[in-house]
Amino acid sequence: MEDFLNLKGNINHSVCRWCYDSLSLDTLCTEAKKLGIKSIDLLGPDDFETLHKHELDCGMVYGLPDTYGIEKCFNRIENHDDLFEIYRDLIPVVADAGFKNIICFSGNRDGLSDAKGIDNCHLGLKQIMPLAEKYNVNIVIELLNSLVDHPDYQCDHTEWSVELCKKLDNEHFKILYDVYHMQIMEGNIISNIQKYSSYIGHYHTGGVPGRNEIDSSQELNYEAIMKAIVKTGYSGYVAQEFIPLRDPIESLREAIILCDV
Amino acid sequence: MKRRNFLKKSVTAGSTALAASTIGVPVISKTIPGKKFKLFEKYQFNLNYAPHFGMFKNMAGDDLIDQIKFMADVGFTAMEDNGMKNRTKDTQEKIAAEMARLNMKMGVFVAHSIYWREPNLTSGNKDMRSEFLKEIAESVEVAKRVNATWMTVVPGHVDLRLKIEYQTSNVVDSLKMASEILEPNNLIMVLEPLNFYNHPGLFLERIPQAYEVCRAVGSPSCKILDDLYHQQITEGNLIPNIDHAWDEIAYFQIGDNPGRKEPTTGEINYLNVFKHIDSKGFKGIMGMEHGNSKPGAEGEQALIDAYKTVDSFK
Repeated sequence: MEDFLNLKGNINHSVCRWCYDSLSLDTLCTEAKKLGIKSIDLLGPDDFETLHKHELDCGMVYGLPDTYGIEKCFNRIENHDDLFEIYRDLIPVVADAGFKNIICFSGNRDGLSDAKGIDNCHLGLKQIMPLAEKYNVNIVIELLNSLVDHPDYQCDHTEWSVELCKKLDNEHFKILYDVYHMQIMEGNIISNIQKYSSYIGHYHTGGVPGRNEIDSSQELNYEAIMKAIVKTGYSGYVAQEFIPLRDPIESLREAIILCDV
Repeated sequence: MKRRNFLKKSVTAGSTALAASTIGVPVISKTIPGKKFKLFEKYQFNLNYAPHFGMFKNMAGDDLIDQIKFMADVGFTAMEDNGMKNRTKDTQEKIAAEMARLNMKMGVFVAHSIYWREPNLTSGNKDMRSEFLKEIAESVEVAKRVNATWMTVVPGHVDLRLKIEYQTSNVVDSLKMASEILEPNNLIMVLEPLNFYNHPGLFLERIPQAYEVCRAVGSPSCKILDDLYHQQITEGNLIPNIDHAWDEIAYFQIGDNPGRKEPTTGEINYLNVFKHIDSKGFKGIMGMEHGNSKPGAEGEQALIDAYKTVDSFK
């Protein structure tokens, strides 16, 4: 497929499927490839065939059943047996498909202290890390805001996720640093990216406030942020995760150009 | 995917492209004879951006009055001087007279001694409070002399021997007393939350916290100075916090992050932040409390150009 945008190659572009629900996955893949996008984020095994057909990567696999997810995940010990089985079955499938990253979550606090949350996540995740190592895939925990979109979510500050990384001490466990969520929760984006780059395995975007286009209509300078990411030596994907208010593909195109530093 | 709450898609109009900076024709300043620098035609900014002394020393020279003339020539309609209180009465009067002549607004000066390392207002200590109130009264005289409306207040270090609720109450009590001094003079103290990386241990860090304090004080003379540089480091979420705290915000300061230099040098999209502030009808002052990203006259020109760029929102 021809790369119509003639991208610079310093940022590996991806896009989150859920923001383009008006398009079929097939159409999104076709349009994304025209923009030089190499990956579609947050898809499960059912969609791998479509990705393979389009020769696209899945920068971040989402493989949880409806019973688990953002609100209910690794910070509760009673979830660990189920989660072990889910990831035990998922990891080989993802590795076999040739993909590298699988998302995971903390779950909501629901009264749990941040220290206990780290302890519990550590207990649950360390059971699956040997499999991740064996199959050479990464387990990646997503930072989300708990002020606007996900009230009570525990992994809502960079330092919390870094502490979990330190405790797990496994190079196959990384952080999904979502710029939109972290601007809502803590700001100081570039400094935190520089400080914690060795723990970060994936990036998401989004305009603040509103989670729409990342252009001049919101409060962050994404060009500067992308330059900072490149400077850290990052070689993973940056996935667009904003809800387009205008023509979805045109907005996606503009975002790719903006982030292609 | 089911995991996300899909928002209803709506269509909004409006250009996404950065409007091009409007650059005028270079002219030699007529107000500062003998200066060799070139000036652009006076620019009509949408907001009252306020430079400070030293920001244009390469282009305007060391003389304070020349620097004010230069700011006015560029098109700046305000100026702020943190250290105004420490200047001689004669200098204060000369600065005020020149700014009045050029129809420029006076920005903040620091109203009192800031306790960076030990508690003063948070402790409830009566001697510390008296010292603060005495300095506020002195600042009233300075404000009158220099035509200032706003003065900066930083409530000082936390008191580790007191629970935070007691500290907040102590701060509120002191600020109520200060408001009684300021109100009859129609002056406003603006409380400035500072970031905890550069200023660890200070009581006032966040906009929601400053909002809570101002609400508790309940005076038109006690408002927030929202320093966007500090807030980007401390808590991000700039526009939502501006909206939440709008009724209590009286003054803004600017600086990009990281680095605390002019807009366009960091992660804040000042074009849209300024557009938002302007759209709310803000007529106050936007203090340029930051450094220059590049040295010399070239750096000063780059700073002016950066402001033209981020001001081009309408």
